Amino acid sequence: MTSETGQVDQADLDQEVIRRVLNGSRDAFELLIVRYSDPLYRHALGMTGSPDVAEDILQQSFIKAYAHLGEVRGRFDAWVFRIVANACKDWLKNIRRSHVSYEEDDQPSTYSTPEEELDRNELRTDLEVALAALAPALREAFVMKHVEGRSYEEMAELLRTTVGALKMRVHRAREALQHLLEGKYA
Amino acid sequence: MMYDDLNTPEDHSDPELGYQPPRSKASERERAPAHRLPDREVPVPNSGATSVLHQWLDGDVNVSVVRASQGGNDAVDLWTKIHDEAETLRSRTTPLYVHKRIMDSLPDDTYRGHHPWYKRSITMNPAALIAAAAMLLGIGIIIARMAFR
Repeated sequence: MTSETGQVDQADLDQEVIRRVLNGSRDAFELLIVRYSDPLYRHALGMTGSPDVAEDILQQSFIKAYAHLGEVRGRFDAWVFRIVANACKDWLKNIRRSHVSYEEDDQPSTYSTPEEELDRNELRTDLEVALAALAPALREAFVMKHVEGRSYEEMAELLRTTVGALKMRVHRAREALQHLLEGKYA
Repeated sequence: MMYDDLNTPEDHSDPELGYQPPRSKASERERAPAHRLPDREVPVPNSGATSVLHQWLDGDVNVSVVRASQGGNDAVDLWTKIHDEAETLRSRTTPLYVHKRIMDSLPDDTYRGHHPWYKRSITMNPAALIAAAAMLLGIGIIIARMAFR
């Protein structure tokens, strides 16, 4: 994450882009998409486990953000994050899936041997199944802390809750994951 | 001790219930905002080893402290694997076609109609620019000929 000054500068740049879009420059919105899509995509991917679903959630969230752009108060990145986070939680509440879809993935493999790739695929599948067993709020806290690498303070700001509550959720998520995975991997 | 927030942002107002019996004083007290529960204290049911593990995962203690605890080596091995997997996810980027897909699906006229035409920005490619310049030059020549005739 950037420094506080960097965040303020970024927020000013975002406000300028938002002004341009509201003045009728639709193409300027692409600047916000390019700037923020990666962290939002990773969040959606961590929450859903499916690249296809993550792409759909990202698309719907940016369309929603565009339609309501005049309502942004404060930081755009935090505002659009909450749109994506809510969409992910809604998806998790509505869909109870029993399969893992990381294999739909078309990103290149980074493993040195086929055996290593096989082991990592197995872990990935088991981790996804374990994550799917968590309540959405616990999964969200775990993904933000361990996949996105955010601090508790940053998470609290984005989710509008307390650091203590988030530590509790992360601890519960870790204990549940450890319970589900330690028999096979520890 | 840690705190979990019981006050969720959802609206908990009563749905339409039709007739409702009069409430007792006790239930009125429960409903009064001043008597809402504050953040609830939730004891963390950790053994010493689990507590040390969380501290390590939060970056507060060194891995050697966890390894020294009961079952610590197994826990460190498991979480190292999970972290490696998380690292892979952290390096993921949005496929480029998604940017285009999003832009293509945005409505054209959401904000355009809010401003008069002379305040809208225009986009001009080089060919159009050359054509416009040639047209202006032609008009200028015609005006000059008429003026000096």
